[in-house]
Amino acid sequence: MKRSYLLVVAACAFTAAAAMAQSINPDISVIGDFRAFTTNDPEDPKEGKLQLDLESVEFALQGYLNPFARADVYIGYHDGSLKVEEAYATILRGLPGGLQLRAGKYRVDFGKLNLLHPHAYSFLDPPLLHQAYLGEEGLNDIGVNLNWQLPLGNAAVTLSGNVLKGDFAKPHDHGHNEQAHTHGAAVLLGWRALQEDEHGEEAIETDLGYSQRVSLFLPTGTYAGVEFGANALQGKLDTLTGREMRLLGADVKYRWAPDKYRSLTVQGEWIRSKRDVLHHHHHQAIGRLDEEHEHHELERLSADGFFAFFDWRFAQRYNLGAIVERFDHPEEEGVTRKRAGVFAGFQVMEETTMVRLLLRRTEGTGMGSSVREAILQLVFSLGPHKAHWF
Amino acid sequence: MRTITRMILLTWALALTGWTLEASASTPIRVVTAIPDFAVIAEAIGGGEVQAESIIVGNRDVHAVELLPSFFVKIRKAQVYVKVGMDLDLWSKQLIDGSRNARLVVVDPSSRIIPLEVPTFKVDASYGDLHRYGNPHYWLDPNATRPIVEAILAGLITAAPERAAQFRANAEAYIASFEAAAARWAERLAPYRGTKLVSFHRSWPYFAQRFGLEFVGELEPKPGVPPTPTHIAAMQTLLASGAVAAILMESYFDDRVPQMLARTTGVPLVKVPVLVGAEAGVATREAMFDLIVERLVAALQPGRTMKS
Repeated sequence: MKRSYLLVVAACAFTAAAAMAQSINPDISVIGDFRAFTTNDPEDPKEGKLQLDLESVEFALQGYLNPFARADVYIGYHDGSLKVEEAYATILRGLPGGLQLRAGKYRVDFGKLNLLHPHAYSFLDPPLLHQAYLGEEGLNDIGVNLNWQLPLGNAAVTLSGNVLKGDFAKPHDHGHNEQAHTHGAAVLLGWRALQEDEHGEEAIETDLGYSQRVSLFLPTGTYAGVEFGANALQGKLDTLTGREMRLLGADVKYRWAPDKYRSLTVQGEWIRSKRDVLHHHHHQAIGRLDEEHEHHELERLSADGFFAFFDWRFAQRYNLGAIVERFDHPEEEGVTRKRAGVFAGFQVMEETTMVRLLLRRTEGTGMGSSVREAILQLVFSLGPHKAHWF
Repeated sequence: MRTITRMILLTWALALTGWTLEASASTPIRVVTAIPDFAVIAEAIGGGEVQAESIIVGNRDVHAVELLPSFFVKIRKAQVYVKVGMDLDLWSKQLIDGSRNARLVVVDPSSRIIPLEVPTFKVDASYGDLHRYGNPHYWLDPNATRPIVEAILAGLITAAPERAAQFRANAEAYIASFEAAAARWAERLAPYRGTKLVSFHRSWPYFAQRFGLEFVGELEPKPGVPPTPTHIAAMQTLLASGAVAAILMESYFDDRVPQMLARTTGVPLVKVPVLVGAEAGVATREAMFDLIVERLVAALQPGRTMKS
């Protein structure tokens, strides 16, 4: 823990020193996410009490490498440790046919929402669906991305393919990160079965994974449009046993911004998962009490789920919205989760300081009573603020 | 999975077709501009050989733009992009990067103007949306038209050097016509030199300098910060003092607070477009300045008694 704090201090010192340096240095920004919350979750030792947390601090270093390429590095402080969230270089221009190439560690374009960092979510945390199917931090892996955008009138088709190291297929890192992104998410997701897997994270050998996305953006006005996306991913969960995983997804996003004061976003995503799950059976041979055999059996489990939300911004600085989601557990048959939440937000000045309130309820198979949470979030942001991507 | 693979193959086939068609259509010079004022200038210089369109269309705020894929597509097909510069349209950089256009000529007319209100201190967010390179609303100075035209002309010549002579002639004709109109506006506003005004946003230092007007306050407490109750009360006191002749506001802002202040203090509210196309009938920069000047003159009634 002490080492982490030293690293944070070092990062802050670097930030300050770099900010005073010349303009050739990269853009530096820091985003903090402070929360006050309470929950009736019986698994939470502080059930019913007000709790405070610095959910995360994100340091971003961004800049051009040369006229053709840029690099982006995001370092996140979360739950007492620092981690490289993303670090990648992008060749922006100069490749044939308008191709763009990205290499490094990055959030993979599986769906529209996964590309955003959680502090950009009006509903505070990634949907449970993403945490269950893509990982607690979303689909974030080391890899190479090649993408192409084709103009079709004012519409645009984007084709994107990724070759990934395969870390996304490793068991979720619950050991020290149980509270990641959503308080008690591991419990809500019923991830205990995964934690009890005889293969620890260290022991799992994954292989290269592949994902692809096709999206079509159609403008429905000068400042309005709809995007449809289709996504596919496949990877090896474990080369030793040959377990595989496949994901198929579809997403849609509609946005309408009639003036500087108002905007409406309606977005949803559906994911279908197919994963091989390993079952362990212990046999004792008949008449041979001293002989025990362990038998492994692979079973392919199918599961699917969705989330959908709307977010209405009004009077420039306020927003209101709601999110719903429902999904089957990808590795436990018959386990489902449902979550619904309403949220409201206020921005003092753009994204420099935002206050958000989220009320949500999670229920599902085997959870007993539903879990209700109230979370008040303060997001503060230092440094340059870039325009939002659709 | 097969369905997805088929979809991808079909899309790549469409992509190749579109790419081929795109490559073959290159006759008019395509220009994309951050604001419509630069688009009309580019078309005037091009004289029919330039097809220009703006990212900002209609009554929008230049400070904030969401990056739509349709914008990338526009810039992808363009040969010249004209930004505002001075960090006003930081989104232009993101759009240019997202366009993947390696042959794009990027023009920044702000490099040719003399900036006003360049901070002499370290700018940070406590000053609101203050721009470190100076006030970026230079296109609201009629006399900035010449440097803007020259910058766009240089960009067009880089893109199509064989048409340089024609572009130069068109540019000179445009400047001459515009300067004649600017002289007319100066004459119209001459009786009001020294008149004190209040604006919504700090958009007018170039306009004020050109016509000898004096802006004594803004309804925004800091650039980009919407009016707060305390600041509104202070502005109400200022307006009620009689020292201010009019509230000049940019039409893309919500006018509820200015309307209330005008109603309670008796100071006229003059709402004007600050971009070409922000109002019906404002299709050129001349039309825009005509409208600004005439609405202002109508509000600044001669003989209105003001305390100094």
